[in-house]
Amino acid sequence: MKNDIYILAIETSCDETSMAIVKNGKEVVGMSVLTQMDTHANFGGVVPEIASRMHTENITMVLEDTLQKAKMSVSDVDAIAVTSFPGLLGSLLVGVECAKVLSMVYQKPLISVNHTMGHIFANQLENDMTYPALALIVSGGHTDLVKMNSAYDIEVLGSTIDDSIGEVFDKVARVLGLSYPGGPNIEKLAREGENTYSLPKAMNDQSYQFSFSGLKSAVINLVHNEEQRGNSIRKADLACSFQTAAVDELVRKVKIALENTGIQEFILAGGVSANQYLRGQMEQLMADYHVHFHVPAFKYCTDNAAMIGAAAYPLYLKKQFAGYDLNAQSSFDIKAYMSILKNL
Amino acid sequence: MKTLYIDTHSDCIQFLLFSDGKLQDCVIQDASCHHSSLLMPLLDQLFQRAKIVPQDIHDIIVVNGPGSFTGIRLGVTIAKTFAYTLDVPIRVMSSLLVKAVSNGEKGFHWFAEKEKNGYFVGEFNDSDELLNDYFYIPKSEFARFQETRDIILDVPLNYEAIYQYSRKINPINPHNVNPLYVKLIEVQR
Repeated sequence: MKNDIYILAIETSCDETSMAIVKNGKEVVGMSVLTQMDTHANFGGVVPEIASRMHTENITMVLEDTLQKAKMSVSDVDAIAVTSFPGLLGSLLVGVECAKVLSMVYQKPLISVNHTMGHIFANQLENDMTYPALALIVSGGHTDLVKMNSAYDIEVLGSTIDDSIGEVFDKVARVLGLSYPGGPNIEKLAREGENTYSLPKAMNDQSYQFSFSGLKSAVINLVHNEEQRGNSIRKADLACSFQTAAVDELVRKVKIALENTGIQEFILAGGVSANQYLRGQMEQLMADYHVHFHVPAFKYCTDNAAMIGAAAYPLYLKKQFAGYDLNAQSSFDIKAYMSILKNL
Repeated sequence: MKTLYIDTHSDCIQFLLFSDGKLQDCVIQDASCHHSSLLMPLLDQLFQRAKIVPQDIHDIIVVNGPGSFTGIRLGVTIAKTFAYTLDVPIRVMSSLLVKAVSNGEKGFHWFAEKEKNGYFVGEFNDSDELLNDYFYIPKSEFARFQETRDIILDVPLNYEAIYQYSRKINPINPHNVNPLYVKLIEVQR
């Protein structure tokens, strides 16, 4: 009897065309990631139409590369998984259509995967996640603090009420005149500066909600005011002050959740989890509270298909398969989605 | 020998199945912006009705545009994934070439494909060869362009003529099959 489950996963939600074959939701047998970052850097950010075009151009080459790396054929896998939401609609659709064709040609079940769940499950690739766990999802689209009772039984404790943390990093980067991608460039510049600018606390309360638009406006206003006065900005210091204020707020809210729930497992997920300062601060907090800290390896922090294969595995076991009418969705309501998952 | 023809460049989705060059069956449906949820179920319907599986397909013809950006992207993605996985020849025809081939009248003709804000146009000779590159004309300039030329917009498609013409086209590597957008997007201008 065959016990191992192999899933071919496809991720095209933004500007990375990626496919991977993942064994039992844990072991990456082969993965290919083709990033379009250099192309979009010319435009100062991801251009959705160009991203979709490049996915179509590259999709079969990425498939071939993945199969060669895994030394497998599509007929060897048990299911096809694809990110169908949330993300850039045109980009998602390319992956979704490709997945449906593979599902039809090879008669394999099709699994629809939520991109955000992929970021959480990126942690499963190198460690075993144990439950209950707290997870903080930080990306360009999300800032969510969730309580995981099991792999797909998730309670949303709090989310951002305005901008996501990734969005704010990108916007502040633009104001500081930094090139795309903004987040990593702020982090780089912040290393050369000091926390000398006084910025407001993002949301000075005891709830699990986040708010970053006030902090963003404070930075923008500070830059404009200084420009009008003819003063120069100490960009590295401002980058450092901003990053410290934003990360401190994430750490403060996680600390409240740890104290209130007594949970001993913490998962950091999403593209912003690649930020070293954030990782360092969270690591320190977890050490102080003797909590087990999970953070994905750098290669699994940014968008990749391996995490989609990992997130698809529990859905495969529950036989949660999609039909050929699967469509892509650009956004989703995390609370509504989590309650659907809970009832699977 | 089964040939699958995929045309999703407009709201009218067309999947045709040729058997030895003769039209065996087809699915033609108005999609009006619901391409993704409709395309594969329609194709599945065509296969089931014809009692075939994808492995019975010997070659593929795909209309790669110009037309709806999303439409051609999805059609091309489906077509190239089929061609790559089934390891069958794939041929590309443009939406304007398909019209030129279907048009029985002799002579040089201009053909146009309408989209939301304008028209994609191209001129073809007697042998249905494109004379210059395709180009895009905004709606506001089309009337003036039309003053000096007879432009054919709608042609009833002649499927068997399209199939016959496709035999003269060299198949290309599925990796290199790409949509024909013609129109530049904002950031490219």
